[in-house]
Amino acid sequence: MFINSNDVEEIIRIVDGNYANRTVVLMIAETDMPNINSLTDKLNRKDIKFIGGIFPQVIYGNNVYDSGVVIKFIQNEVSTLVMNNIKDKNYTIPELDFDKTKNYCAFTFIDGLTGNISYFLSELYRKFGNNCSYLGGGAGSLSLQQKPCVFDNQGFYMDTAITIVFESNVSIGVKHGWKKIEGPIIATKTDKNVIQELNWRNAFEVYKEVIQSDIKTELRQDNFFDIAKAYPFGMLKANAECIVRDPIATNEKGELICVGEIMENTAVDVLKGEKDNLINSAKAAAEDAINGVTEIRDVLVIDCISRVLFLEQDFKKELDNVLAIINSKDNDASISGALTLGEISSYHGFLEFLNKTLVIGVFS
Amino acid sequence: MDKSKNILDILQLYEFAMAIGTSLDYKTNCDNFLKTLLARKNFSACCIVRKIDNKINSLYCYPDYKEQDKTSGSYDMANGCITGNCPLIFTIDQTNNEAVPFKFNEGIALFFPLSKDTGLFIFDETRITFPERDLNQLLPLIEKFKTSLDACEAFAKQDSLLKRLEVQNQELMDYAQVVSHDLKSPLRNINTIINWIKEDNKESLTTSIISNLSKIDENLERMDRLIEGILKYSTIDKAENNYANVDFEEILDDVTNSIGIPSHIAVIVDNKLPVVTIDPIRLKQLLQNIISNAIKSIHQEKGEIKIKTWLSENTIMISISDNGIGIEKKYHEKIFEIFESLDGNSNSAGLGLSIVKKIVEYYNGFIKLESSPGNGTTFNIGLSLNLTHETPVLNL
Repeated sequence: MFINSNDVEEIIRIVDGNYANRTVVLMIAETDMPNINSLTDKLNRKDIKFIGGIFPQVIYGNNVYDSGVVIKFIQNEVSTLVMNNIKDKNYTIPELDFDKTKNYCAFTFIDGLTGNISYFLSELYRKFGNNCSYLGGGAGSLSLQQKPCVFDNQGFYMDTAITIVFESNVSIGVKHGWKKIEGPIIATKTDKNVIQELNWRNAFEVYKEVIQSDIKTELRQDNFFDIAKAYPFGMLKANAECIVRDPIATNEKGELICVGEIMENTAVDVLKGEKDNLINSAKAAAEDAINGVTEIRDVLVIDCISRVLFLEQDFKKELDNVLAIINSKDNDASISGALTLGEISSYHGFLEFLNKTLVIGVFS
Repeated sequence: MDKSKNILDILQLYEFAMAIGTSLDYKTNCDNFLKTLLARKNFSACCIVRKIDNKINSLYCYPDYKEQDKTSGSYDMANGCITGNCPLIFTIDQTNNEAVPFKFNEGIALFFPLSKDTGLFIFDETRITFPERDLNQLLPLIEKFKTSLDACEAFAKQDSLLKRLEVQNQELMDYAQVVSHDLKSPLRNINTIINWIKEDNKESLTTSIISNLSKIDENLERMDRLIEGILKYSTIDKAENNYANVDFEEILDDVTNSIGIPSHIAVIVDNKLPVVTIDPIRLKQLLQNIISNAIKSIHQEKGEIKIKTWLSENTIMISISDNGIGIEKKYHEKIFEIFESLDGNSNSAGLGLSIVKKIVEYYNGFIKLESSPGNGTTFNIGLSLNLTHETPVLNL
């Protein structure tokens, strides 16, 4: 469901009319967003249980929206967990009892601009293991300024993750389509999401050499974001595409600041995006997702905002591809979701924080 | 041959190898290596189990598993692998997946023995086969990981032993303090009562009674010194260090002033020590005990105590000679034993040289004795500056 409005009263009216004692998930686009405190107060007065996140843009059908709210309703909720202080690792993930004969989904919104997200996900996987399928994304502003971005009935938070665990059969497709142009290179010195050295040298110098061998423009601190968005890093993963790490800035020390952690001594490739590859990967992700189900009840799309920035007008083709594949299975099915700062999914194994990747969850 | 794939393999091995042994904490060490392995190889779960008294205990598991998820099949599977004691790849399917303590439909399990009773299981839901080449690639890594786990366990044992030792040392110190206080208190009371008796009965006390009371007093003083000595002896190597830059001659002046060198004895000093960082209190105690003994041994009209010091390869060397009565060879070891006194002096507690020996041992040093009756005595002492507990610093 999508509401193209920031009017709190209208949002409340539509949610109230549809929620039917289910948990409401609100994905709100950051431009002209409704007043979250007012929205929270009014939903609380109606005893509606909800979680939500603020995202750069939201997806509904084959369109993206700068403003508006995508609404999902979740039934068979097992638990909703709020973990604060993600950056300081100062939180406890509670134990949950899972019935091995049932399928569960753990859907997470996390402050995409906080630190130690990969660590949080590894702790989430430590607690829930493969009892759940994992889906989710990083909330926050495209301005890359950290501020409150996830919320529930109790508050509006930053540096926080909210995970809702519910009974559901979900099939997940994950693809990015970025291809290697150089590597492997070793990230010889890192600190969480900051690469300090590559191949025992200043990280920016090494990265700049690679980029400038591919394009003629000089890579500098002031044009870094615009150029680097087309040249992310890839960390090798067996039986799957590599895990992408998105360098979004550099500093005066020549360090590369990424979205998501890179462990020290990781072998990475420098990747490059070709529009066709990315658009086709969306098709492949959707095919993977529908292959795991016999019927489609709902489709959630978590796509990286940097793919929109890279594909620009062609991004619509990515969504067109996804919708076409979904509709090939069920002509009435629609897609909705959010454009995020980092994506969350497991490949039936270790849970990862992804960048520049498309995650499609098909619920049946 | 795919050269770039080979390079990538090598670099990945480098990453894995660098993740091993990054901590001496067992769980952190496992987390750092196994989480990296799971992430890069896309494995689903792993656990390290140990067979103890026919039970299978989990030493590490990622993700966590619940005890109730263990089945008799879990025991059989773990027991079989541990007994076999060799690397294995086996299939997990509907027939045996209940043995896996995680939700697991089908895939493969890898087993690596870590010792005769311990093994590592790795589970993979994404594959139904695992190439032998990949297993061979992992074997040396697991061997290295095993060594790091042994180090973690040894460190944990040592750490726990040290903590127990610290507690016991503290208890011993407390005990020594309490005993000393409790024993000294009645001694003081007896001394006070004797003084009252003497004061109150000045006129009526006979010479014999006064003499006996004085003997009681002397014994009380002896007892007091004995308790003080025992306290010093028991705590000399446990008390906190207060390192300071020490000028040997200043320390020696303090010692000779506090002892009070008789006028017929000359102290000749040949000091070649630079300023060293060492605990001055322990050094003073050492010098005080040896010089006091030297004074007691000099019975002739003109006595002489020669003190030489120098530095030899980070060892403080001290030689103290006297021209006293000397010591028979058969007592050269015995004099360092606690409560041993050769001079038959009732004022001696027989603890002085025992304390010296303890201080020397504390500094990983040595003490040697050259002496024979009538030829005086020389103590040659070495105090090492290379201490493992807290290293004194040489300030040249």
